[in-house]
Amino acid sequence: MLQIMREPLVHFIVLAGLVFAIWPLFQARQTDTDRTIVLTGEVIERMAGLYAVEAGTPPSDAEIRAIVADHVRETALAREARRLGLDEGDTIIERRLSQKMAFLLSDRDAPPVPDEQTLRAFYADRAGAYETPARVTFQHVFFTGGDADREADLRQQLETASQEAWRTIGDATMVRLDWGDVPAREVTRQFGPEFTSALMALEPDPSWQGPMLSAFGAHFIRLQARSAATTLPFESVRADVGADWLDQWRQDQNARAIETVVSRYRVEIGD
Amino acid sequence: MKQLTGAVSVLVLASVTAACGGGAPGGNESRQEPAAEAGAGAVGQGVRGDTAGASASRPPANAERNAYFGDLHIHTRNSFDAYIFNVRRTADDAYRFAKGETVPHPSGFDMTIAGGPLDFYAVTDHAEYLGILPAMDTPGTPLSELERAQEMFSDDPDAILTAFQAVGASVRQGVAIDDMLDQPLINSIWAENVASANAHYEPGVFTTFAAYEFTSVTTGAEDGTFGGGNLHRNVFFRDGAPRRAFSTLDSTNPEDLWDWMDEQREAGLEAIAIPHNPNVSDGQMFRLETYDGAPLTAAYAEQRMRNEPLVEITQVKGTSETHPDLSPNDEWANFEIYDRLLGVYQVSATEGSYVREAYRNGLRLEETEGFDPFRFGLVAASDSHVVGGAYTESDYWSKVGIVDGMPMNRGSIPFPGTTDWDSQPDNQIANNAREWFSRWSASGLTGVWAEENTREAIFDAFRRKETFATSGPRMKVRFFAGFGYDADIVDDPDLVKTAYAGGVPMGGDLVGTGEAPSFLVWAQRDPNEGALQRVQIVKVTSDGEQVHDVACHTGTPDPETHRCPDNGAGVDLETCTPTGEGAGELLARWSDPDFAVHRHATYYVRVLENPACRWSTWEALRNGTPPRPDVPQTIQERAYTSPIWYIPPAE
Repeated sequence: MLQIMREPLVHFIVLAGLVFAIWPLFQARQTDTDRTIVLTGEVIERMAGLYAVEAGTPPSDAEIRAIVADHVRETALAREARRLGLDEGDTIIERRLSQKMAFLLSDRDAPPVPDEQTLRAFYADRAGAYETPARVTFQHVFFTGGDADREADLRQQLETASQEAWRTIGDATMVRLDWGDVPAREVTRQFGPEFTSALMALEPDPSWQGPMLSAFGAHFIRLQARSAATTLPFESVRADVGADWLDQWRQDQNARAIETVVSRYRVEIGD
Repeated sequence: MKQLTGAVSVLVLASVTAACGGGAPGGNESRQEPAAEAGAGAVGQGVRGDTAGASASRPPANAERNAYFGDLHIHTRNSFDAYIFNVRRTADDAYRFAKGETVPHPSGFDMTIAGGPLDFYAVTDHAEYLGILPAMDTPGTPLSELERAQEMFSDDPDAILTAFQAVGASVRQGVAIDDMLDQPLINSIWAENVASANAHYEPGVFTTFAAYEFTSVTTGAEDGTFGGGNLHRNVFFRDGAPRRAFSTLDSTNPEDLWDWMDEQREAGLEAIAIPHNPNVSDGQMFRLETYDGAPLTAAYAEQRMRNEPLVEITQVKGTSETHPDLSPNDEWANFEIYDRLLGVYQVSATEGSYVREAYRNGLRLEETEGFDPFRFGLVAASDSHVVGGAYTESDYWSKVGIVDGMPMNRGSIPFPGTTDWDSQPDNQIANNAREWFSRWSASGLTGVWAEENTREAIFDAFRRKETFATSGPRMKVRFFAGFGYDADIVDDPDLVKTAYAGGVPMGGDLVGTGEAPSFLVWAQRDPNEGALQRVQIVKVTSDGEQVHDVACHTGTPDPETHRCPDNGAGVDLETCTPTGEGAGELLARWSDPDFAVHRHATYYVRVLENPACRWSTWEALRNGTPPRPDVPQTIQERAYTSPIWYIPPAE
């Protein structure tokens, strides 16, 4: 017992008890619970603990007295301010309170662990998020277009050209002639949207196809490979799906909790 | 006491998160970072973005260089003049926008980049008070308790304006507001911006840089109010980043910035600065004196060129190529001219504010003094303060935030309550729209020729000045000069290889041999924008300038007038649909008919698209009201290359 009485924290609790025992004497007219500042052992321990974390050592007697005095002062002033309506219409106070509330709400429940079925359903609902884009590998020969004889002549040249000679056929173009495993979006960026949809509709074939039109002119195409957009198998993206599910759960949970709080209030919008 | 500590630190952590995280602590961001760093890795990582290299291996370097497009001038919430106009998006949001994701504008609509993802993007927040306004607006921070913070984020427009003007004045005068200048906080926000750039950098796919804006403006008035010449520069680092950014609170003199950059370079941090908006510099950007009014010297020229090899020639706040008063014989000189000094209606001085005149003055100095402080290449950017640039006329959102976010704010449609342009009210919104926002442009992008899409390759292209600037579209332009290009080089299947081997590309010096050089120009339209009308070479000498059409969509240039025949292209103003045809690519070999072996000459290329509706016409069309009469209804989008400088042989 004597040992305990030497602990500063205990001194403090006793002291605090005294302060609050005499508090009503000074505040004779105040009767509602708003006018009571309750300092439980738990609260005081928390304040002392905070101090200890920041200072690196437990607070001394004098320090505890200062802490409690500060706390009482802050609490009392805050309540008084609220009583006078000073918090109303103050953006900073309101935002701070709403931030704090939103945070508390979002963290209220520990996240559940979703079962396999839930995750698979979640994955199925948003398969677009787990997709590899369509990709193509192709070569092209460019010419200005619009001339049927020229087109026939070029086609003829291409059909008889040796393995690498195709590169010298047609008109000069700044666009690269070989495209290896590029996503459709990159083809759109380089050739424009019409060409891309025409290209994506072709089947891979070792012979020259086309011509297809682009923003630049006409192109004979040798489509070597084309992969459609594929949805990645659930197994390979399991970790992502889990994390996305959790994000979604938090967002939903948070939105619902905030909605519940908001629904307790009646909203009136003035002119 | 010990067992308390755990619970207590959770509480501390919780309050920190609550203060900065808002409603959604945790979330996507932290989880996606490792994926971005890992790049092409395990299945399931990095496959969601449909970018070029998402799951493919990094493309091989191309010795003949590829064109990459990007925006080198973007602001986020950390810029004081973005936050005050309700911009709340971060550097992460900016890079996501550039990669093709949709990001909200502070006025409440969605922004998606036109033409697909960019290859590179640079967040260049103002270094002055970087991140301080967000902190002032965050309850619980010491900065939020300042009286000026309470005023700046109050409901009283006058108090807000006064508090904000004080920040602007401090930036302009270079005199710090001590209670706002929390340097450790600024440094930590700078480190965050750098970390975001690093996290979004994917070699081979998407390049970012550590970068910021140095916000120097001359100010006439003693109280530092608006009305001075713009001397802003963006500073870029090739590898790594310094611990702090040199700002106007260190010195408003750009030459002091260069000294600092020289020190950084000595210490291993290669850097360049890119000035922007010389058009609103009130004659200061290319003044023929130092900042303090001393005569220019060879040492000044050398230091300037070492630190500033490039200039931004077009952005939302207008073009800086030339002005009709400076180039009366150039029919295309009057293009998206914007001449109001920052924040006021006062008109900027023309001389000393435009690039072409600076090239001429540079040659003049070269011939008389033996040095040229203006041998810079060209880039373009948006200067968007809402994290995403508006590059296309048909989908425009200007750049500031809530003050110019809607067509009404920027005056493309009559002020609410009016239907015609003769009865516009005399209020601040209508006046600002008339004087400022209606004259701004949906512009621009930088193109670089680089071996691959990496920081090193793109930065080295900046150094070589192998860059070009566009008013928004992604048109590609090659430009070479050499002494041995054959007459039939345009038919060479290895044209680019031959051109590099036998000459210099844009940005280069062509040293004379006594022969006449020939030039090779090759332009390609943006497949997602308008077709090409003509390609021109602009020649500048110490005593004049000439504009030569060198390749035409229709016909060939007239040898007397140096002009292409009219290709008949136009726009249907009822629908904004182009009429007539244009070229996909234009290629020409050109020789200067007036070439003089012993005269310095600067040559650069200008590529013109067919006419198209200006953004203001698109917005009027959608609104069903007549287009604003005091701005052009159509424009010709264009690209400008860095010059090639012909240096006469030693006599």
